[in-house]
Amino acid sequence: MSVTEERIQELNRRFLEYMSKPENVETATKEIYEDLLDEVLMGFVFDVHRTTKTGSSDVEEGIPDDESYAIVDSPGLDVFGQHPVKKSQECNCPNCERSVAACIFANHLAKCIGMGRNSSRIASLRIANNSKDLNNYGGVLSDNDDDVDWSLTNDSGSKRKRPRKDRNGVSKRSGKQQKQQGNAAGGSGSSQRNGETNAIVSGSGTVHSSNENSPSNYENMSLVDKRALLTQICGVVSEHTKKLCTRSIRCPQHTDDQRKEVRANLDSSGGSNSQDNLHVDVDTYEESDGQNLRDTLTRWDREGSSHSSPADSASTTSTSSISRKRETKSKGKGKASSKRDRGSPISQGD
Amino acid sequence: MSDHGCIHLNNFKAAKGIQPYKVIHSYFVTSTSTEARVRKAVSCLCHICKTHKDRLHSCLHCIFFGCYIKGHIQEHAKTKKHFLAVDLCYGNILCFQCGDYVYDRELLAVAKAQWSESAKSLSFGEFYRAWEPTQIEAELLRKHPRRRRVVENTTIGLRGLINLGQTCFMNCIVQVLIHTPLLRDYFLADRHHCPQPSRCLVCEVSHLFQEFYSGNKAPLTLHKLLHLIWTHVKHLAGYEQQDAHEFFIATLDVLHRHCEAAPILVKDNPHHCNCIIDQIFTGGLQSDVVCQVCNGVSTTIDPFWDISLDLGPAADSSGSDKSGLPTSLLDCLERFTRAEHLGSTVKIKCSNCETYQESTKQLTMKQLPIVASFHLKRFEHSSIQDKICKKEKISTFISFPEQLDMTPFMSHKRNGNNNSAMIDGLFKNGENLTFSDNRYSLFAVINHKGSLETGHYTAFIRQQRDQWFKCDDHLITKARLKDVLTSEGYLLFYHKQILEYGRNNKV
Repeated sequence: MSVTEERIQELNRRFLEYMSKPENVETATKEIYEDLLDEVLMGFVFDVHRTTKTGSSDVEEGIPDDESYAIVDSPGLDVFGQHPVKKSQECNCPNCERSVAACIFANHLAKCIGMGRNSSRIASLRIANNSKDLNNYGGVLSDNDDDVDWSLTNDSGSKRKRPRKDRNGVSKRSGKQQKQQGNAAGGSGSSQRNGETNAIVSGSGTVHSSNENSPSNYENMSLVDKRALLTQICGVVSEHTKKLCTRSIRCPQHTDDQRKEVRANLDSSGGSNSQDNLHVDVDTYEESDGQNLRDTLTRWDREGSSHSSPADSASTTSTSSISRKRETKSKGKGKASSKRDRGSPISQGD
Repeated sequence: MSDHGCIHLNNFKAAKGIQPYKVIHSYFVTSTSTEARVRKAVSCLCHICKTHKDRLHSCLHCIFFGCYIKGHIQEHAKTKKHFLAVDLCYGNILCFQCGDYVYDRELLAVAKAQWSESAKSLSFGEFYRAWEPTQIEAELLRKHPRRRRVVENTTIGLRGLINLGQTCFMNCIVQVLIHTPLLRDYFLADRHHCPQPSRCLVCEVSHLFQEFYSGNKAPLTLHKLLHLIWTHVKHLAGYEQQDAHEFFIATLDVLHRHCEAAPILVKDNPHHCNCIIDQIFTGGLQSDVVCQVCNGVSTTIDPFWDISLDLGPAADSSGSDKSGLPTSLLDCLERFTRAEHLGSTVKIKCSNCETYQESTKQLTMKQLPIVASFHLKRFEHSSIQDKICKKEKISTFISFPEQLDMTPFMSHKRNGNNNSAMIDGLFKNGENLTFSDNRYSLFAVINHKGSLETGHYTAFIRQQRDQWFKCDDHLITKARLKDVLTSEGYLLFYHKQILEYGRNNKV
């Protein structure tokens, strides 16, 4: 190394000596420049030579595509020369893998992933719907006995269109109704409710009405399914609202004894007749409980009625279940009788 | 395809292996260490005429350097029957029996590794190499010989996007991202390699680029993208989300986070993110708070992805009534970078004189991003005690130029006038500043039609230097520059005209 170092020093010395003469500077500059230019040019030559010889340039070149991609600029046509007609496209929801019409996909997804600002409300509404609280249709909503079951209308994406019912569709636009929804939902922001409302109205212009005969409700669940559900949620029936608590099985509002009682009842009765007053307690529902619950619910929906979409059910039934909830709150138990008067298909007598 | 060298080279390899080539290459071609560079400088001279140039070659069989121009390496080959030589500039192998340079796959791989090694030893990122297909890629290319080229007047790169139900805000942002020149280069160069593709937004954007350039003319549905973004940005999830600006920032954030999952090696500074999103979109905003008593300046620099510009009347506290309403982007920027008196009620502790004093605050551009995104605050809303009071949408026309020079808003320009501390900085950086070019050109504009409550987003995007298109969900039509410049812009996107080398090494 010392030898080479000496030689480097020698080179430097000679270079500096050479460059100290002004007449040499120009010569040196020119030579270095030409040297570099030659080198760069050789680089290009080698690149071409190599890619030609190894065949990679041919491979890259390929055959030009025959199809014309020329831009079209004429009125009434898009740049591709197509008439801009909105084709109804479908896409598969990445979450639930169902086929959904593209134009309502955002609406579907918002509910399907159930994690938006609306989600806890939506999830609880879904349970409320499924748990068949039918006692409070008075006032805003009338009975929908003659409606086609929502769970059957969503047959693999080709939905049967139903005329919009004023009570379900248009009424949602009214401010008053929105306010009621807001109260019922436990105070989520107003803009979200607007979003929800728009979603329903703008979807396909169709509102699927809820139906009391949905098979996927708690009462109609098999004992096995009920037990499965009770491994996920608290399940204690609230004294005030008569509803099923959907918090986690360690929820602080209810004691373990209460939970044991619920499960014991289930076992002793064989799960057939003792569930009369099970409701979802929307007020105590918490978002953090949502995921397990949603999974369970999705499973119900799939198993219980394979055609229903959890997302659609949430939007279609929101108004009705909310109203029910509101009335439960304001009038308490007195409503039980009116429910019976209405001749609900499902017995909920005390 | 012949990257199997030649019979002569193969015979040589069979007898002596690749080691001779490797040694010559690592010392006298690429010089992968300081020692090697010294050796190259000292000993790479023609053994006959002592020249250092004239296409110097090294004999592969023995220690001999000879130039090609004067025929000294040929002479050596002939007399010694050493028919293989290595070109010392690029490392290619010349076979005198074939009379041509020959390429051997194995030796090419060795050479490639040595070039990387050399760049590393000089602390360069990597030497530039023109893309060449790997074996697998070449195979694929042969299987699919049709090529779609992005030539003039082609629709390749354009694609309509289906509205998924009030998702025009997303469609517009995606159109902008897809037509961001540097981002396009990144993705079309297949630079993103991902540990978990199924959940990665960057992978999805990469996929979108494939779709846009596929030649397919049918509009695309962005359902997977929407799902990914909603899954990763929980506060956006929900049908009601509608602000394109909010979506843009959230999307950049997710992309940035997912880039970090597949990190690019940054050896000099582990805290500085070098992901493609930061490289393109991140700038530095300097905030100078000046104490009105002692003139002490406290400076902070914060990264930004976009600049939000006020359109309403200027904050009254300054007392200058002549300020009026901005009518152009330049007005807005001028106002944005103006020193603002923070008012007599707001007293800030001065770090210099250690007392609470009235002060002025000024924002300036410390470092400009490659893509400058401007957000014209047409939807003004003030938040008072959790209650969001929305005001009217501001629909005044704000003119914006096709070419924008950001120089007047740079920190050194703006601060030079009013505080002396910065002048030192100016001299220090003087050299850099002389060459900095801060010109930008417009490449995308997002417009909003309608009111606060309901409305529709459309985008103008530039493709191929100067062609403009209007993207209205699934409908893509040709537009004129005049249409773009007279539109009521909401988000404006400018791309830097000249990119400087080594931008990332500075930090």
